[in-house]
Amino acid sequence: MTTVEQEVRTFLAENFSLGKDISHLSSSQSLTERGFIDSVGIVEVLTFLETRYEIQISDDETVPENIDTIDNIVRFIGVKRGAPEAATQ
Amino acid sequence: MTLAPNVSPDLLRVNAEQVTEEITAFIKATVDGRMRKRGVVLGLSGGVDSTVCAALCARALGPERVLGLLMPERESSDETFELGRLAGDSAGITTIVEDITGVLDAAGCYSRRDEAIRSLIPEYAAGWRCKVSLPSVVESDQYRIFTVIAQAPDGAQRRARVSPAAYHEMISATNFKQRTRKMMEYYHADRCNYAVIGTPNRLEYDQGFFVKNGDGSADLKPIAHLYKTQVYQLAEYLGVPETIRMRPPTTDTYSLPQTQEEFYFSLPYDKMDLCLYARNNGIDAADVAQALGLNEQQIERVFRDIDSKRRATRYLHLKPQLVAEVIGGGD
Repeated sequence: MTTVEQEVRTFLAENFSLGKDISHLSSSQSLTERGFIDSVGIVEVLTFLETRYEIQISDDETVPENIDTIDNIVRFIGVKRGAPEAATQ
Repeated sequence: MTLAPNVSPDLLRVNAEQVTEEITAFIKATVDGRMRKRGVVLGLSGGVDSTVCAALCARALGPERVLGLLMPERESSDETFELGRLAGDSAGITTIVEDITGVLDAAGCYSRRDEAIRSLIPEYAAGWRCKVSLPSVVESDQYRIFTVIAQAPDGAQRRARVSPAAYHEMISATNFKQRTRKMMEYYHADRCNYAVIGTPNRLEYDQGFFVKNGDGSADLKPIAHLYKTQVYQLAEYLGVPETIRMRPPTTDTYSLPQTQEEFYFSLPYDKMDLCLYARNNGIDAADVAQALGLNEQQIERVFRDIDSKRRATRYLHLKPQLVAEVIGGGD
């Protein structure tokens, strides 16, 4: 597990678990389709990512292929930080 | 699964006369029989939903047993007030004006909301106007994240993504408007021994486009089973003035003009109706896309948005949850 994935999982667990154990959440599982996170929650995720990784995420980057799964987030952060290999470690 | 390959707006066509008879019978039976109330009270927004409800209640009970409330506040449009008055006049009912600005001021509706906006746009000040807006579901796959748009007195606009804290503060502060209006409706209902009419259409009811204990609160909701296009069909049958029928649906909650699809729904109401009907009846996105002149991917996104709103607003429909059933607690 990459550092980014670990940090994202910790953030999700601390802010969205709502009594659910997310340790079994697959990295490829949608965060939004089963109601795990709603659109306001997405903004919380964006805020976390922008602050933690010192990046700016534009509105047109707020799409499922960047944010909808833990895998997508890790890949997206890697690209934004200029290190796409982070997503494949 | 495709149940209706020939998808068209005709699927939503109703026999307006028959539907009117069903609803007026329901109103009379509920108000006179089940609730034993002397009449009904409803807020008039100048929109087609509340105007149709006023006309239906007047038919069911007689106009002398229906009270309409016009409840302007300092940010509501003059058009809302004038059309609300027209709605009351066209139904032949008595109307009362209750300006709720003072209540909203005292509750901090405006100041709390403005403080939240200033946390995003520090220049926002007296004389500015604002609204919140969502990206189009149809135009991109972008998440539906709110943007606040503030307009300076000189017309210059500032935009900012709404943070979760500001979002919750803005929504909870502006919800004072719907809740104050409902409080006023129940004041008059208690005073007159009337029931309160809720005026949501099916789109609003299904998708949770209402404020709990605000416009979502009522004793009966006579058109909650009708798609918005069906409400328009009833409006025409009932002789609702054309100026009301032609007015685009609006929230009239923020000081800048705002359409309902800008704030909540994915598409204009007529297209949204057909998508909701299709979702409810297992019709393929491809068939809906063809009927609406959109592509399948766009309709799939609308379907996802419908499902997402149902999940997010499910709790709004729940009655207060009890540990055990209580005798005398009603059904």
